[in-house]
Amino acid sequence: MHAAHTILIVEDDRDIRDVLAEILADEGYHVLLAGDGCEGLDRLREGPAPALILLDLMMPRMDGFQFREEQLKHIDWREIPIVLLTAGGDLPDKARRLEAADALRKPVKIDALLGMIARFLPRP
Amino acid sequence: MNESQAPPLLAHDRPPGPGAASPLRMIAGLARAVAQARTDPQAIAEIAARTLVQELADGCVVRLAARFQVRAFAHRDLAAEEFLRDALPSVPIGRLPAGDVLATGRPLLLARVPPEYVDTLCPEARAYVRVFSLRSLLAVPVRCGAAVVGAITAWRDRAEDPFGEDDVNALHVCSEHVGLALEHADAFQALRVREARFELAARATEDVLWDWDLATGAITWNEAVRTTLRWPEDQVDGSLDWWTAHVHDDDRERVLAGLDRAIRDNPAGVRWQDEYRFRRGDGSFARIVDRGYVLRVDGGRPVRFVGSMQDISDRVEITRRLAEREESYRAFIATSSEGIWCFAGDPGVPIDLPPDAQIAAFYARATLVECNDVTARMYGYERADQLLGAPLAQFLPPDDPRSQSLLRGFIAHGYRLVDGESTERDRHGRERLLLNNIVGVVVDGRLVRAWGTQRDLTELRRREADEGRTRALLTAVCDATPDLVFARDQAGALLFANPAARRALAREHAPSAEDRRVLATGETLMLEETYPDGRVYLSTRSPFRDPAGRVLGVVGTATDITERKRAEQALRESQQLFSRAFGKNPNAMSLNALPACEFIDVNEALVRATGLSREQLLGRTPFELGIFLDPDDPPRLAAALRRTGSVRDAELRLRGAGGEIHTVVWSAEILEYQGRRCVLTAATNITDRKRAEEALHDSEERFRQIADNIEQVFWLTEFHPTERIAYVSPACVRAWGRTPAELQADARVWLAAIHPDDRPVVEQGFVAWLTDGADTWEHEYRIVHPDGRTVRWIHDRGALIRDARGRPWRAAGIAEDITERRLAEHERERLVADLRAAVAVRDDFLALASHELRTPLAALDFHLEHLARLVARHPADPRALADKVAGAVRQVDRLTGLVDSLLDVGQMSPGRLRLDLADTDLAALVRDLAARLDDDARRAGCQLRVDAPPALPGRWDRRRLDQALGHMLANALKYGAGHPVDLRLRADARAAVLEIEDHGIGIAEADVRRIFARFERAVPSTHYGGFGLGLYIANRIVEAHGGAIDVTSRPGQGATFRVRLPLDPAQHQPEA
Repeated sequence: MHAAHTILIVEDDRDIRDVLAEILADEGYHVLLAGDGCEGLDRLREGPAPALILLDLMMPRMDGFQFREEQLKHIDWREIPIVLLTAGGDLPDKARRLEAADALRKPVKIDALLGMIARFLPRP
Repeated sequence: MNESQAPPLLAHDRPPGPGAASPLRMIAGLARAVAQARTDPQAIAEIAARTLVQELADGCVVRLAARFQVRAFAHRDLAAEEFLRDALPSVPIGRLPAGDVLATGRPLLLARVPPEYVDTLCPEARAYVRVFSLRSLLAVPVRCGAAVVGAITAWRDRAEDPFGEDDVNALHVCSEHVGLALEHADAFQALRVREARFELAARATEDVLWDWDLATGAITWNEAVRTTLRWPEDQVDGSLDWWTAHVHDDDRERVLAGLDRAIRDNPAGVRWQDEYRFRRGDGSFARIVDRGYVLRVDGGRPVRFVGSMQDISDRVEITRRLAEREESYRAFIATSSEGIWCFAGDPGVPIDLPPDAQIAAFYARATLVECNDVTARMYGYERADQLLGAPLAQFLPPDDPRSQSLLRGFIAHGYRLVDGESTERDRHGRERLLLNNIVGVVVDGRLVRAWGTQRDLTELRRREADEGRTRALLTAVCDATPDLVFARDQAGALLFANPAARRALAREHAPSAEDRRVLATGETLMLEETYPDGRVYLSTRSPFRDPAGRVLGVVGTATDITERKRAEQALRESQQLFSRAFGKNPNAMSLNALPACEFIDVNEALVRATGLSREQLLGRTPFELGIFLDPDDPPRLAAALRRTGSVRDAELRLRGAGGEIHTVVWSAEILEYQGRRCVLTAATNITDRKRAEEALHDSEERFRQIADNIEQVFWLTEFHPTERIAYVSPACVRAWGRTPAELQADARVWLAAIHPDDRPVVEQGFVAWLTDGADTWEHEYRIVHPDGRTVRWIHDRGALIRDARGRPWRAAGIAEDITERRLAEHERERLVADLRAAVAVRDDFLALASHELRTPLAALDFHLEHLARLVARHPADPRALADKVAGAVRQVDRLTGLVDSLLDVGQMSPGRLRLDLADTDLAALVRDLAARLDDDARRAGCQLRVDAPPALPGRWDRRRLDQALGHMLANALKYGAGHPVDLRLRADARAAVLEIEDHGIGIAEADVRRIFARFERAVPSTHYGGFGLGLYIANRIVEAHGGAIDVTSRPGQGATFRVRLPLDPAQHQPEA
């Protein structure tokens, strides 16, 4: 798989994470998974940078805000666009604060999600 | 003395030897010179020395000792002569060569002076010898009469011509001449002295001295011829004829004859004497006694007649007068009032006998030879002749020692007695005291007569004794009195002054006006006067008279009244003071006489108050005037006065002017006034004051009624003189828990009652209120009751009342107990806060709920949508579909559980969790729980390991515990996925402890706290996710059981949740 097709999912709820990973994989994306911010940074460190990060905010150990902060410090990761995927409200505000490319509120329709992802990554 | 009578010049007649021509010349010269010098020993010595130097020697010294004390020096050489004059005079003659000569009377010749002789000389002489030399020395004595009186020393300096025998002789001759000259000088000197004496005598005497040169017939007179015989000088003639002419004619012949006889016949040494009258210069005749003495020369030739004329005219006169006097004396004796007598004895008593012998002789020989009748009468006789011839013993008893002492005194004082007292007996044997003056007549060493006068003092003495006693009495009286007693004569001199008067008065002072008046009019005066000592005296002046009634002087007495005057003055002043105090006093005052109390004096205020005039009041009593309103008052007041002598501040009602009733404060005092018992009263009108007091009292009553009955606490604070709470209404008891008395007693009590937390602010506020000019003050504060526990809220408001100067004078305020209200407010606030909290919780909860629900919803949605897509893409793959469906169902379960939980949480607000406690086996519960979640655990990759006792009973709410532990286990599975999860259950005596350990990602420290605190405060957390809600519920349930959950964790190393549950939560009931 091409890095250009890689998406990093940072989400603590396993059920969501697994099904989402399945959906995206079905679509042909390469999916990296992280259960919290720390794991997210690990993924970034490990391999080629993903083309997009789907970021949950409420996570144990390191939440989305902290992950984003770290991400922005890194010259290699800074450019990677993020899309917030959160159950909480106040999305515009959060998107602005985190300089997110977009923000989606759970539950989100798969089509909408795929559509949003396609803006950043070409469909494989 | 004249030259013709000079003594012979030459004593010796020697043939001239070698060099004799010079001695002769020398001697001649000396003789001439000495003759010229005559009487001056110094001149004689000088001449001798000079002559010798001229003729005989180089140097010469003539020294005469004894009474002459002459030194004469001469030398050829002037320098040497000067030396001699300077050096030798001070050297005693004994130390010179002349000394030997003087001592021995023998001459000294040293023809050649040996050197060793020089060594024996005195230093001065040696000094001379050294300078001028001494080769040959010669010294001879000088004699005057028989005695050696000096020496002449001559010497030669030249060696070639030493002295020889001739020189010695010549010097002897000189010496003799000098001696003779000295004798001559001596004699002459003596004669001069005698002549001088004679001249003096002649000058001094009053007798006329005459010196009749019988050869020439000239008579020399002395001064007396002028002074005594009063002849002017120019009329005195030194001739015999002159004298003869002035002898009285009747006496001339006789006198001349006598003179003649004296000159011719009288042998030498017999004196001529005659008495005759001689005319004085003024023409009167003097009675003269003339005595003379004829001087004869050898052969009896009379050469001079010298004599003196004595003027005895006076004596003649005196004799005549004496005779006259004797006449009158006799008359005097006869007529004198004094006794005059004469004792005589024959022979007279020798005055050189011892006194006792003389006295014996007096008694033996003396008889009364003369006396006057007065004398006789003194002794009880009538006539003098009755007494004559009486012996001394008759008058002066010999055995009476007084007689002896009188006679002794007479003898001792030279036979005189002045004012001698004698005690004698008269004819009748009575004693008489006589005063005698006696003169004794001594002739030829014998007392022949004694003349005497005497006075009879007997009566006099008796009177004197009486007078003396009287005087003593007077003096004693005068000395004893402190008053002054004195008498002055007409001129003002003090005749008498007692000791007090002596101290106070001047010795002399001119008679004062009073004195003069007394002297003039003879009246007695009384006056007040101030003496120099500053004291005031009450004096009298009265005349004292002689027996004839003539005023002789002024008698004065003076009593010291200084103190009395001071007392009088003080009394006057005090009376003035009193009358001023009384008269002008604003209070009505009166002086009433006891016992009837009639007015003696009233002041203006009383006149005004009663409306009656002074005249109407004086002499009448207040009772008859109806002044006392209440008839019981007078007797009551009178009783009080009688008991204590005074009444103070009695409140009375009196009738005043126009019938008005006045209320007074009445005081009275009993006192003595002008000898009467009186009562002094003073009344202060307090009617107005009383009215004001009553009005005030009424107003206070009203106020009190209000204040006592309101619930609020009314207070009044005073600031002057000290800050104190003047009034607090009774309502303070409820509010403050203290009585008004307690609060009023001490201003600090109020302050102390304030809650310590509120006190500073209140205090500052109060002070600021007083100082910063605000009029009102308002504060809310807590107070603490005396029990120390009860706290009340007070709302206090005060308003300041200022005095005329704007200073805080009083403050009045109302304090309200607002505790109920405050409590209600607090309650409301608390409720509101609770409500808000609850609302916040709910909001939080809703947010949470929304958030929580979305996650499983999202998962469900994804599952279903994926299912749809899978169905669309792979219609024939049932496995995939079944998986998705299962997953979807799982999400629905999840959602259901979540909704339940959320609802539970909604029910679990503080205080709303009710436990249904029952006996429960916790071990079984844990095992059941583990079994139920086994599937989930496997799916999560967690191996559940349970370590629990077989049974663990306790009293718990099984359903709730299951719920709590279920949540915790779910968390452990979620966050510890892929790792084993351990459940360990233990119990101790009181509680069960369950540990749930996962080995997952762990929790940060800060998050530990946050998890549990989340719902206590509506603090948004970013970490709760589904994590916290379950834990929250578990926590609430465990806490409701009285237990607790704690967690230990390290990030990356899992977490261990420890649940502690008391075995019997009934002891730890949930809070109400």
